[in-house]
Amino acid sequence: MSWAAHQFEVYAVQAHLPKKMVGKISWFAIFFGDFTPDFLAKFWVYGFNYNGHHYGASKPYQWHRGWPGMGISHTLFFGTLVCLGIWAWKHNRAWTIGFLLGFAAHVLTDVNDSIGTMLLFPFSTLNWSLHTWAYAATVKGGKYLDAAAYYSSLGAVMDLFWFFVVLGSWRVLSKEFWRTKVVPADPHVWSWLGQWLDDRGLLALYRGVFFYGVCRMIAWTTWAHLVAKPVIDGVKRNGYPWDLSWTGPWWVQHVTLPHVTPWVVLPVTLVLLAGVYFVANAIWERMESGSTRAIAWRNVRRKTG
Amino acid sequence: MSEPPRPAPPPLPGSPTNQAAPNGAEPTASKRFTPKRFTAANYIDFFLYASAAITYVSLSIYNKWLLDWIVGPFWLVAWVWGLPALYKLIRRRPIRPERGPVGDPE
Repeated sequence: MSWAAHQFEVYAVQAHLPKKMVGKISWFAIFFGDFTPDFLAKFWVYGFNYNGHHYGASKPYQWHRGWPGMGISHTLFFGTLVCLGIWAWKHNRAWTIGFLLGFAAHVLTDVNDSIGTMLLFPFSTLNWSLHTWAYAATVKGGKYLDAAAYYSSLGAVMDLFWFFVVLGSWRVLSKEFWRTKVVPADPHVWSWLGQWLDDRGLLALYRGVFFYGVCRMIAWTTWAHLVAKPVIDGVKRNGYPWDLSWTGPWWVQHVTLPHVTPWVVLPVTLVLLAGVYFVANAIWERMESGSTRAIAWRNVRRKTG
Repeated sequence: MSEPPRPAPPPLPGSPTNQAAPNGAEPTASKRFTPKRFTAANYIDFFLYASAAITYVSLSIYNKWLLDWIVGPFWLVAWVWGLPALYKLIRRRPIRPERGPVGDPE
């Protein structure tokens, strides 16, 4: 799984929208799209302890990304279903396409760990993984071991990569960008929030996800390498060892699910990413007429009813 | 019939004032970018964001329950908006914004 990368993706997607969608895609939709897969699956991955008993998935990796399990929450198929639901409910293209882009970013990024995602579900339940780093959520190790493994492996590099992608388009974090490109796409939500918060507060809310990403990256890395005192193979260490090799770190078990050969994963992932952008581009204008008709129909119903 | 020229919209608060040449021509390369003026408000903002990050990271290293997707953004809002609001409250000034819909320049 990826950690802060998912926070940075939200801004990376926002900064790299197709030209005709700039200022028209809901930032909240991108956020919820990107977070929905883990909203649905992550809680039970780590589980919780109550009265000395652990409640949670017995095989976290199977639950999180596999089938049977909640692996469906990390499939483009599920994202498409949710988007169809949003469209059927609201006829709002800013939210539908925003959710799709955010969701796709999450699903496609998660092919990097050793479990990967079921990219072609429901046609295939095989997982697609690049095995860049080891998936490390376990019943015994919980969140701490997962974080330590991620921030000792190429996962940390992945977070940094997305961090620099956002920094490369730093204007996405500026007040001017927020006022001219983000607020107009979601005027009602920002206006509603503006009842309580002034511009400084609203801007902090917009930047909050990036802030959280940066801080969690620094905090977990610092803890894993400067504070923690793990015992690995019977040896007490000062901090978890770094291992920036492929499939690292060496000190966690490299778990996998039935998967396709890693060589085809990167090209297929890039094709799917291009496909999502192509589809979003292609249906964007058509959705406008749908939105207009839905608004007109709603106004008629309000007047008559 | 050509449409009469419209007056330029008022600049956003804090945005550069030198946008275009008065006769409507493109600004020259040297005038295209005006460095942002560092006002007291900018310094206060910088201080608030930096202190929010330092406090959050420092505390969350030892209290990892703070590293949560709700607590993180909330921390920033509480710090950047909440501290000035608290200051206003102490000085008995209104906290809630007095304005129209968000996004209006004024």
